[in-house]
Amino acid sequence: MKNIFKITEYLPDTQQIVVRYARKNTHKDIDEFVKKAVDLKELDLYDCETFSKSLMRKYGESSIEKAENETEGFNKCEKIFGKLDIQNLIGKVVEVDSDEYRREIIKMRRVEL
Amino acid sequence: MTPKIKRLIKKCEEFYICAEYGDKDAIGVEYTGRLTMYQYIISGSTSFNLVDGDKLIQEIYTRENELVDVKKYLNERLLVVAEENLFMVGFNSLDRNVDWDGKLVKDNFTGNDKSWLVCFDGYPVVNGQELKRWDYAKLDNKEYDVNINDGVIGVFTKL
Repeated sequence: MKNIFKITEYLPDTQQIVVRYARKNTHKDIDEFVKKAVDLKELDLYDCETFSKSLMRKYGESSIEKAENETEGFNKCEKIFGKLDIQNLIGKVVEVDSDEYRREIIKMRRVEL
Repeated sequence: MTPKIKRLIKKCEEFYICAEYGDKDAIGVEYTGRLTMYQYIISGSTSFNLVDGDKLIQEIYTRENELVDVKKYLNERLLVVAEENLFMVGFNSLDRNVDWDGKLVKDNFTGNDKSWLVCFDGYPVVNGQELKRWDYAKLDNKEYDVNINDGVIGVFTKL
């Protein structure tokens, strides 16, 4: 799942940025989502990629998840527990938390020196 | 919110590199199949907590430890705790029977064809080429001109 962010302010005096986050495929304008201040010292500022990843990992993903949990989805769904009965599941819409912390491949580059 | 650990990994030709981003207080579990031989803390600090019978033996590591030889943990059950927000990288053998020697280089050095270079941080320049984090190279039997430029370079030699 792809996420997006938009920096609306940079506060050099306090070394903070103000950011909004959303799912890439949301039908709402990102400017309609809540904005929050982030301390730059909490982020990995090595390059654009580490900045983006650390921003989303530390703040964006939880913010998006919170916004989604506060929004009633189009599909009415339920969580299931206990002994499995496939027959009993037919026609039900089942909610499952996604595995958000899978291993990621490091983008290493082989160079000749 | 529950603190989390994000794990990253990449298999290279003769070794693999791992990395962990851990929120403060996140706990990772390492089993006896562990292949990490050297660890470098880029930011934050971590404790390695070795479970030895009914005892817990703790060692704390920070960036100041530079490249840490962690071979003593290869066959151990380990709880890795992010004592602060943590970014840690590790050099791993592909085979626990193949040993490696690792060191950080900060100045010019002579290479050999059993060694690999890995850039862990910064933008050091080696033989005129600027490296960035995660760049790696097979070395040869020749001289390497290094401008460390506040970067961090590890050289790992297969024994």
